[in-house]
Amino acid sequence: MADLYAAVTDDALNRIAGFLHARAPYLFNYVAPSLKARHDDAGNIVGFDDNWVVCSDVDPAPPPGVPRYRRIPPFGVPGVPIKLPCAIQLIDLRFDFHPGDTITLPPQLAGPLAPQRFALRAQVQFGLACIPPEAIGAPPPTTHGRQWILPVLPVDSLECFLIQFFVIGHLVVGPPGQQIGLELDGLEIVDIQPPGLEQAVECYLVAMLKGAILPQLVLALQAVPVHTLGLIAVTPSLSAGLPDNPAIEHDALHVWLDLAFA
Amino acid sequence: MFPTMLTQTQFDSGALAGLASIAHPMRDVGYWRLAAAGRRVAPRRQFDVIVREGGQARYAIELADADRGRMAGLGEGFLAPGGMINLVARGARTGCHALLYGDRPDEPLWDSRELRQGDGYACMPMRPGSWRIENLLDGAVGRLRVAYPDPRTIAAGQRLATALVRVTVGMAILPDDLRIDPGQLLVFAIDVRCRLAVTLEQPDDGPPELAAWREERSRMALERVFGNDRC
Amino acid sequence: MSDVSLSVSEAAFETIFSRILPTPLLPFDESASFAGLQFGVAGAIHIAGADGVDFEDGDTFWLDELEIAWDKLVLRLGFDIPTVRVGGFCILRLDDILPWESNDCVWELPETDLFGADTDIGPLVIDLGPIVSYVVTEVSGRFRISGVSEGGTLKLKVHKQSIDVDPISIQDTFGKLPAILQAAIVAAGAKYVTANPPAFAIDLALGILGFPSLTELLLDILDIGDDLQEWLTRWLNVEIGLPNVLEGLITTAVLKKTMFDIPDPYSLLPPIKMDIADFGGFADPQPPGPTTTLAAPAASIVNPAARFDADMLHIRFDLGL
Repeated sequence: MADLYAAVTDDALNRIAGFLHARAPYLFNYVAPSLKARHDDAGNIVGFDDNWVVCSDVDPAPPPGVPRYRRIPPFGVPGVPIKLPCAIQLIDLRFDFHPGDTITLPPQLAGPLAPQRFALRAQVQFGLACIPPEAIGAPPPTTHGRQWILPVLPVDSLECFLIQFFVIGHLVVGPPGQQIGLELDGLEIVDIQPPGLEQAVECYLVAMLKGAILPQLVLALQAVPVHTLGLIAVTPSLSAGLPDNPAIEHDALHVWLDLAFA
Repeated sequence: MFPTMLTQTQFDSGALAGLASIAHPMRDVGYWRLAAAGRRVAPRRQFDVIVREGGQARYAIELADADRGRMAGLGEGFLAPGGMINLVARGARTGCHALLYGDRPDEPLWDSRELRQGDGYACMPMRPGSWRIENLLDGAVGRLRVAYPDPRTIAAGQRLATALVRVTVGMAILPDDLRIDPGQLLVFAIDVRCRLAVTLEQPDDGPPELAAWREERSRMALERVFGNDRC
Repeated sequence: MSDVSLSVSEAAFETIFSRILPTPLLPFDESASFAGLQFGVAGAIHIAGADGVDFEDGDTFWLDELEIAWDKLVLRLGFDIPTVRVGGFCILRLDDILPWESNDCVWELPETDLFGADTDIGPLVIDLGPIVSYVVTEVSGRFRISGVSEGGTLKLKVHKQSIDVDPISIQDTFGKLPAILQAAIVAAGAKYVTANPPAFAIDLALGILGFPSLTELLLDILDIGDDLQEWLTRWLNVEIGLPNVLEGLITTAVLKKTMFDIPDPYSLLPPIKMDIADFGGFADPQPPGPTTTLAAPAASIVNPAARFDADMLHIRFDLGL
């Protein structure tokens, strides 16, 4: 019998995600900011400030001193000598643990949700800067004969589009040291044409999910229950001999631990 | 911790102190007054003695202690004819004596410094050793030996004798060679005028082998209870 | 189903309980007297751990054994020497003089104390340190668990419901106890004699009381009988009432031990240290640069519950989100 068992429901995780969406929006909003010129009284450019141009405002404002956006590097387009601002915003995020009863999967991810699987549904809003024709080949702006080298194109708005995607995955326990990771079983973006574009975007999304968001959400499942109970001088490890540990079933994520007391 | 009466080495019927007592019979009906006297008795105290039919058999008076005065519970000074006044002075450092007055306040009818026929004197010499008994008024002498309370006899099951030892004081003191255990009371029946002195002449501190005997005895007693843990 | 469920096995619970249970030294000092012996005991115990946790359905668990370790046991023995009296008897009766008269006492020697009524020997202070490891104290108890919000955490506390302390026993199979007691009595007797000359007075008092030696008088007052261990444990258990004393000490020490300490509010992320330049759109006031630490977003704990079944302790709560 395991020393310690812990479980958290998918409903609780969804409420946590919503809570974090409001309290830590920088986890969900990635922006390569544009630029805005500062002028003196005579109308000469004296400097440039970040202009955080996004598709959806982060509303309501986060708590005092908390940032809305995380900076990402702007991207380049061949033939265009200047980098382009953009924004990627995760608008909505929802989990559903086996049995899947709150997310309806698209036909491409054949339902029902398999045992030990979780489903994820997200809406991501992309914003790209439209390049005005006069910006192509235009000389850089000058002040008193001095040229400004601009790192990024100054714009006031973005071209925005919203996509919805579904993910199915499961947990894996790998060496060394019983690290719990995620594996994607499937990813599907809804309503993008042509298919080639969909695949390119899917590729970009998979990279972002695997690299940034999902690892943050599955931090040290062994340590969390021990920390929650305020235990110290205890080393947890996943209990052996169980068919699935951790397990995703009955709408919850479960983990069984053995405790080694110092 | 040990009161001085344990180490009292001299008894004097004319200077009553410590473990000693004088008894004086009152034969006639009437009113009497007893006055306590002595160097340290202050203030001089007086006791009324009323002899009449229906009185008590004895009237006990503590001469030395100003607080105690008359003994409680014996009826205030009412003696039956033939009853006796009992005098003690246990707390006295130096001895006390008593004077008995009748009608005439300046003529004592009896002075305890000179006991007469019918009086009694008792004392309890505790200190082991050889003592001398003497009638100071006529020089009659007797010998007294107070035995050392040898624990070896106690160990053999014997106990110290407690019976009264009666001595007659007449022309001679009889018996004139006494052996008693400490704790026994010497009771002198008096036939002639006397003032009795009982004085320690040679103390006895017990046989020298007693120390070793005590150790061995203790050791055996402890072993009986605690067992011998040596093989 | 609650947002968060945690379950702890009986074995793990016992280990955790045994870790929080140990106490510092719990001292006591009690005395009693009977038949000329004043018996005092000063000691100290501490709780070393726990063994034999058995969950009961509901909110209680039974503990088979609270491990008690003895740190100190010191006896104080005081002996009331019986008062040695002389006198109090009649020297002469009326019918000794006048045979036809009554036997009223006409001459009495008043009763006098030779040794004062408050004479005593002691106290002998006897350190039973060498046998404390043989003192057996069996304590079991029933405990209740409940949650209390206190100072930024939700504490799951253990309350004592009842504690049973068995009479103590001494497993001194190597016989150290007799030697200790014997040495103390020898020393006490010797010390008394040295401090209270002259020898004849002691022999006289002992003679009147009927004891050949001071040791035998002390042994008589001790009244040990055949079994020294039985004598000692009877004094400790019955006259002193040591089990009750220990129960009081243990109860106070075990009062409200915290088993589990759940952070409340519960942090959903660790605090993050960041460079200001990597972020934008700060809500006022913007932190001064170049780095800052963002506090952890946290949710309060609501509807906490803790209950046992036969094998597990189940803790449930929701997050106030």
